[in-house]
Amino acid sequence: MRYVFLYRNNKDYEIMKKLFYLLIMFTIAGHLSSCSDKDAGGSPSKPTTDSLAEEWYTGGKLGTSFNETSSAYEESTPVVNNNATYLAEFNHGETFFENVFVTGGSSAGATRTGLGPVYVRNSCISCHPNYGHGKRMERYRADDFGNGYLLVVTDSADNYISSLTAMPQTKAVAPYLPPIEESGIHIVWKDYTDEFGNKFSDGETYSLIYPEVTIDRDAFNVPMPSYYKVRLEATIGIYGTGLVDAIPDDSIRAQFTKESAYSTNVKIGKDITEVDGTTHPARFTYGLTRGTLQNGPGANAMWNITNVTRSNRTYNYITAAYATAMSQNKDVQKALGEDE
Amino acid sequence: MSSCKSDGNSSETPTDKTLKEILTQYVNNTVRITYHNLADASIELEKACETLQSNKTQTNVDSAAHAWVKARKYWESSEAFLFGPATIRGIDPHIDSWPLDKSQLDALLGNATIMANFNADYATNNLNGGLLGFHALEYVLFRDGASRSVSDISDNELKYAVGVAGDLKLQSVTLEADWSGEDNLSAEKQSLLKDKEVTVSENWGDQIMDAGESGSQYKTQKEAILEILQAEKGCRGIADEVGNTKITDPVNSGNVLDVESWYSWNSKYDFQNNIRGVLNSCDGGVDYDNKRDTKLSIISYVKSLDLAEGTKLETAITDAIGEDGKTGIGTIPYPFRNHLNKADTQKAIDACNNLVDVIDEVCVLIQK
Repeated sequence: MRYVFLYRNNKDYEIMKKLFYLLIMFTIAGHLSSCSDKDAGGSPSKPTTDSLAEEWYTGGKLGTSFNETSSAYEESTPVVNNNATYLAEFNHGETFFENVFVTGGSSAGATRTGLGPVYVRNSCISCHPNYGHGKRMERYRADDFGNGYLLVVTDSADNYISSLTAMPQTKAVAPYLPPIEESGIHIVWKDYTDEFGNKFSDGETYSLIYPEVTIDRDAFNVPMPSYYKVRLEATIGIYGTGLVDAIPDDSIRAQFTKESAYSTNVKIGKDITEVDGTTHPARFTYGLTRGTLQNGPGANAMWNITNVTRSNRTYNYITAAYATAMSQNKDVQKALGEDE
Repeated sequence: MSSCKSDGNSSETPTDKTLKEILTQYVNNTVRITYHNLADASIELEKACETLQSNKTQTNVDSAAHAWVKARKYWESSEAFLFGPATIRGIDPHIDSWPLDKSQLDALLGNATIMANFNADYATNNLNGGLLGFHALEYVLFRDGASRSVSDISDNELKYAVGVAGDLKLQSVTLEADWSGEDNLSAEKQSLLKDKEVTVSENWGDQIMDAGESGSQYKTQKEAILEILQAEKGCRGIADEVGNTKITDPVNSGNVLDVESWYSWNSKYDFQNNIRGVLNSCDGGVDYDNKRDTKLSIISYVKSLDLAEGTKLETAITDAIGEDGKTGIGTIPYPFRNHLNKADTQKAIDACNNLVDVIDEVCVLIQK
């Protein structure tokens, strides 16, 4: 019996530019090696890096590390290891990815402060344990480690509800309220039967399950339309991003041209203009809305998730509807020391 | 991840047997005993906080602070083997995040509704790493490197501390169960896990000890050895983190808030205990209760491959710890938080980086 989860995957998994850029070009040589006499007796046939054919270097000689440990996906590659400045930046970026952000206040000035006033998560690792994907959850709680779910709240035409951000927040720094109260979010896993009756041609059966997600109307702290629907997106692992980034633009464009001969709906490799005005073939996000890791919204997920501002991003990831709702909430305003 | 053993190779070589003994020694006398002691110390810490809450005296503050230091030592040494349950369950960020989220803590302590019923269950299910674990307790119990004045501690802070200590106890017992098996825990600990509905599905100690055998995710014994040494959540990872993050980041920023354990001034001991965890991992067990057996150590194994390299590993670890104050972390003046400069910390950073380099060399040697 096999179980398969049906998710709609996260389309916005980009994290921090430097971390992505320096990280994760890697292969697990041991997993690729075939059984041989050398494997007998507990002696691995792992090749050493000074004796490998070029084909072993999936990410190039400077972009491929050889590591079979459980944390292999977290390792830096030779191009980083061989340069003290890169390594220092990698280590610094690693602390941003693996540690929690805090609100600030009396901790102002420390690293990883500025969380809120509303936020989706307080750390990257929370959704990407081991730099991978999130875990299956029975409930939606932002503080549950490994919960990589994002709520997708849309209208009947799949447009995001304008009073909520595309990645709605369920956490808030007091006295503010979150746009959505977690207690009103319900996840129920249901069985699904496909057109094959959940049976392979050889008779073996399998089970399919999917999450049904609902949010109580009174769980919203922003105005909502009469109709809305909710889905879950789930995070994916961030490893491999460096490999995708390393593919030259021309190669992706060539593939786009080749595939476009068969379909008018090819998105991978189609040129897009990014916010800095440069043009690149689309390659990142499920919506294929980003051409590089460096530009525009592609480097913003980390800041959207935590709502931490920075010198060149001095706005909060909130909607005007939310700001208005909080400005008109007497309890919030009273706690802030404001009179009516 | 399946094993690739030839059908014709049923005989056990001396090397197989030796490595199994080394892995068994590592599991039982480094990991399991550390988590066992951490769990016991966390239980003591919770009781000390409860005693302080019911009887607010300076003596009881001192006792709770002492209990914190004791538990802290075991936890920091366990950071040499964060791979497995501590990482998979997210227990490391859950109980050992810093800086403390002081603003949210102030809001929490000021929320009469929440504090009326605040307990360990609330902490476990509603708070995140910035408000939990060692550094939350440290904030309540310490100031300026000493136990806090009892007159400065509010009732709500003590209520909060008892709840956070209860959560820390649960996480610590969970770690012990994950590595030793739930059935091998005391009745009190088993009851706690049952009461909190914690599911323990794997025995990670067995995974390591049975490396190369059916049922273990480690397809060879060497793979398990490399996990211990090379993993980002193993010896190499913690040596790298101590040198290049825990020490370097606050030195670069000059901000005391970036210092781990700055209320208690325990930072230097934290760093040394991190590397003592490496020593325990590599030298055949912890150095108390006659548990260490250097003959069944990774260092002895490395020496059997290359005597000079094994000696180099041994030296790199002890130099990084700097028990005599003349090398490595031992050269950082106390307290670290008052010496956030290159001159006072460079030897420690260099010693940690040297240890990382030596571990890398050893891993290449093992893989040959």
